[in-house]
Parts: sequence; structure tokens; C-alpha cells
Amino acid sequence: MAHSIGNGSPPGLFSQLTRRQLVQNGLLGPGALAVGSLGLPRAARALDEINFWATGTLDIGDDGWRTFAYDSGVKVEFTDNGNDPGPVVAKLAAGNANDIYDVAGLQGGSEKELARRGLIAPWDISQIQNYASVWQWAKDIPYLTHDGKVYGIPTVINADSIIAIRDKAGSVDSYGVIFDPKLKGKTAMEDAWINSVIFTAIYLKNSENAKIAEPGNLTADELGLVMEFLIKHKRDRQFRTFWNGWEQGLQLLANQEVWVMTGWEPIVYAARMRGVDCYYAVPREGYEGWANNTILLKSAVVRGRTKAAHQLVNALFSGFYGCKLGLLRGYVVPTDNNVAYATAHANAFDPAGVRKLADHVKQKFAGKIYWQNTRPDNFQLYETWWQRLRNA
Amino acid sequence: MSFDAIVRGRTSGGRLLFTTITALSLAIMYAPVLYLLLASLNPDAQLGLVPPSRYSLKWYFALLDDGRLAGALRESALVGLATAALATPIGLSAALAYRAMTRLRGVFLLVILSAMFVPGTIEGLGLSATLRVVGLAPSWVTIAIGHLLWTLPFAAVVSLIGLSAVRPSTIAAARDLGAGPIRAFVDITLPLMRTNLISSFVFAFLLSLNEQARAYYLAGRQNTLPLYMFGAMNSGASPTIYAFSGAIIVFSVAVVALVFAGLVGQQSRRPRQAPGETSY
Repeated sequence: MAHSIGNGSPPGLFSQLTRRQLVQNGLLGPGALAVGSLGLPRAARALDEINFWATGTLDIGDDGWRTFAYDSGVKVEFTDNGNDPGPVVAKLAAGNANDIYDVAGLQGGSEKELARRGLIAPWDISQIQNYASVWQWAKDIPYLTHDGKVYGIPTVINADSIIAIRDKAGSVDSYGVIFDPKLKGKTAMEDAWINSVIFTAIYLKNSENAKIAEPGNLTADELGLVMEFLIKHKRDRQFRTFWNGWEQGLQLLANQEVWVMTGWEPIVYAARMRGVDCYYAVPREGYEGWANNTILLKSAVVRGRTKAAHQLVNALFSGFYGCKLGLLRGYVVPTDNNVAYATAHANAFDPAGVRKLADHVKQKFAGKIYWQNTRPDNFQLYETWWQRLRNA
Repeated sequence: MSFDAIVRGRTSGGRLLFTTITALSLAIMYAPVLYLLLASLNPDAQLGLVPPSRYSLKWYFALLDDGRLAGALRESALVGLATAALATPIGLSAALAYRAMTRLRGVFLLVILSAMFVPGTIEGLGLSATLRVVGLAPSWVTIAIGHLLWTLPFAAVVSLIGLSAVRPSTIAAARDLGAGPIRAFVDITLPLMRTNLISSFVFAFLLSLNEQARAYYLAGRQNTLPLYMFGAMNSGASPTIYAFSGAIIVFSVAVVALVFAGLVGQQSRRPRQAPGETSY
């Protein structure tokens, strides 16, 4: 359904692009938006600027942020924080992050600690009208609040499990496949305890009847049990490697060096684009749920950026951001506003695709979920054990 | 054939052994770099080698459209140039101070070199906290300060090597002919050390360009190149990242090769040291 934008546009670039592509790519500037081509409500105005320091997962690119700015009135200066919660917390606590950024985004679990240390401020939900549209189970993530106040806003949400190459691994429905001796040397897990420990704990709890209460927040004894299990399998050469970062994870699959591994769902999409017939398993033990949460830095309040910060978060749930993020990365912003926005702007986004993505994630969360926690009570013990595993 | 002769490479077998070990070591060191370089010419999205007939600069051209990459490149270039511009004269000063010292030279050198062995994360975080206390806002300046600490030992060592090749008799001759210490330094020492100073500048720049751990804690709103690349690789990199890695490799190797060629040229032009003559 390709049709050119603008009447009488000269042949060339514009004539080769659909209107949908133009909006998705942010090529439609404020002028086009102001005349109602997107049906957006407001004309150009002075923009509040927010320094948003977050994992690349939350990034919708310069063109996306341009459209976002026009739509919301908040100009976002996005800086990637590297996605590793440890250094992010360190930079907030002892470094300069509070001097330069207003809002941050990182994997959930650190909120309580940051709040206790006075490094972040609670959100005023009454200033975020779209918060009402956020799916309730996302609001109920246990790590979002401290002392009854909301410190983390679940901005991107998903559930992780196992990636399997179809003709090599067959039908996979359990994390047990990662530890299956028949696949020795052909399995992998991520070199990050925030994912690999909880996956193993979920498996041991549900399939090996291990005494584990909460896989996302292990006691010292439970952690020892999990880590000894991993170390034993590592010494038995069960794992091809512990992968690190998106690119390595993708390469392992694309080169078929591993046949099954715990990993992120977007890697499946990327691997398929590179010709690998792989799929994301539905594990009978349950998924590892994770949320990338938005937090308000204390210094933003001091600098008088509170209103703009709330405006930013409100806009994250207004629909455009969710549609754009889903399109770019396959991630879901937990609100039905995405579908509503796509329906209202079918010339820009595919409503059926947006709905399918949302339903897919909702389906995952209909079953057993164990929430990822980047700052469990014994997190320093986690670090120690993980180093021991690396050295094993 | 004695063991000693083999070890000293005085036999054909010994020479073959050491040549083989050297070749293997170099192959192991550079194979991954070469692989990445060739793979960056693969026009497909999948990293891997393709026949040379399919080589393409597609991903290199795609780099030009990445605005954030350009921003990170500008930031890194600015930081690198500032770092190198400061590290070179300070490194030279440290080398001169070392030469002038009669006592505690070893301690002085140890202090200068110890910055090489401080973990980047610790140094970056500590420096970030300190700069915050003194009220210096995070920016390219704060990164450059961190990188200066990191590159200074390298710059000092390169200057020391250059200084050690300056014959005392040459300086003495200049002084005998009436040159003051500053004149002798400017007219004799500096020209003789020119290639080392250029090397010092280039090494400091390249070290800064590739540094990540300190930059993470010292950066302002604009990430440097390594920070940008790290983030991109963690959140769904496109194959342009291979092209970018390839470009950095080519650039770094070319610069080092140029400096090395200059050093070799300078060495061949230097007069040989007189027997018994000591250097610094």
C-alpha cells in the first residue's frame, strides 16, 4: 500500500517511501504535524528539555525523539548508560550522574536502594495521567516502591526464556535443556548473574524441587545451591560459553555455535533475519519477567525539572513511544494506548502488529513469572559467587 | 649443538624455532583483528567472511548516517587531542625531572608509572567524586583530566627513551659554545627528541581514543566512542559497528606505523654513541 506523501511530490526519495515509513522514521516535521496529518493535538511550542540517561533498550533514535518532542512538548536528550545496573548505581551514588541527568532508565531492582540513599525521588502519579492505562500487573512489580511511594515506572516490559535452534534442539519446553548432557558444549547462558542465576533458580525450584522461595531474591544458602550447580556444569564443560552483550549472543546463534541458550527475545528476531530458524521457548517452569524502569533523579527535583520529568513519563505511555519502540526493537510499553494510537494513526503504524506484540507479551505474563531483580538483598554475595563461577 | 647456542639463536634450528614462535604469536595476536576487518567488508548483516569478490564498503558508508556516532567521534577527538596536548609536555617534564634527580629517582619513576596499574573503574569513580567536590561540571574536560592521568606514564616513558638517546657530549658541546641551558634544550635536546615527542602525542591520543572505564564515570551528556560502541553492542547493534571497528583499527595501525617509520628513520640518522660514553 505504498503511496507517496504530498500531492505532486517529485519522483525520488519521497515517492519511494510510504507515509507510514515517513512517520515511523520521524521525517515528518512539526510543519506536517501541525496541519493535522497525524492528528496530533498541538502546534509547535517551546519545549522542555530532559536529559534522559537510560539503557539503549529505551531509545527510539534521534528521529523518534524528534516526533516525540513535538507530540509531548518534551525534548529528550538521550544518553546510553550501558545497561549494566552496577556502574549505573555507582555513578549515581558516588559519581556525577545526578549532576547531569534528570531521568534515568535501568533494569528493575535498584529502586529501593537508590531511594534509601536519597539519590532518586518518588514520582507523583497524579501528574502522570497515562499511568492509569498501565497494565496492573506491571504496576504490581514488587521492586517499584519504597515506603509506599512509587520510585520506578515500568516503561518496557518483557519476559525472557530460552532460545532454541529448531532443527538442532528440537522441541524445547524446559530450562533443563541448558543442562542436558546430550547438548554438552552446545548450550550457553549470559555472563550476568541478574539473568543466569534466576533462570537456574527457576529451573531448580520447579523441576528439581529445590528449596527456593523467591528465585529473584535468593538467600545465601539458596544462592550457594544454585551456584554450585552452575559451577559443576561449567566444570563438566556443559556450556559453550557465557555470552556477553547482544552482539555476542546473536553471533553464537547465527554461527550455530550453540543450539540452545538463555537469552533475549529480540535476539531471536535478529537471528531469524540472519537466516537462522530459531524460536523462543515457552518454559514450563515459568518466565523470567523483567522491566526497564524509569526513575526520577533527586537532582532533577532540585533543578526544578520535576514537571518536565513527569511530562516525559506521561508521554512514554501516550502511544507513539510504545508503537515506535515496538517497531524498532520488539519491546512493549505496558499500556493499551499503543494499540489505540496505532489504530488512530494506521497510516503510521500497523495496528494489528502492535496488538499482536502486546498480546504476545500479555500471554507470557498469564503464566508463571519470576521477576528479575538487579539488586537482591545479597547482591554482593551474588557478585562473589559469579566471579567464582568465571574462575571455575 | 649446545642448548646455549639454540637459545642465542646462533644455529639455524634456533633461528627457525624463534621465527616460528614469533610468527605464531603475531598470528594469534592479530588474527581476531584481521578477521573483524575482513568481516566488516561483508555486505550481509551476518558477521563472517565472504569471498573477496563480494567485498563491499556498504556498512562503512552507512556509518555516515549515524548522527550519534558522529557526536561520539567529535567528543573522542576533542578529548584525545586535549589529552595528548597536555600529556606530551608533562611527560617530557617528568622525564627531564627524572634525569635531573640525583636521589629518589626510583621512587619518582614508580610514582609516575603507578597510574598505569590503577584499575580504570576505580580511578574514574574516584576522580569523578573528587571533581564533583571541587565543583567541576562533567564534560569533555573531566574526561580529558582522567585520560591525562591514564596516558601520562606512557608519555613519560616515551620521553625518557628519547632523552636517553641524547648524548651528554652534544649538550656539553653546545654549552661550551656558549649556549645557555634553555638554548641548548631548545636547539639540541628537543630536535633530537622530535620523533619521541610525536610518538608520545600519538600514543596518548590513541590511548584516550580507546579508553572506556574512566570515561564512563567522567563523561557529561555526550558519550565518547567506546561508550557509544559498548552501549550499541548491548542493545542491538547493526553491522555498522563492525565497519566502525574496522575503521578504528585501520586508523590506529596506520598512525602507529607512521610513528614507527619515523622512529626507525630517526634512529638510522643518529650518530653512534662513542665507546664508553654514557647516556641519561
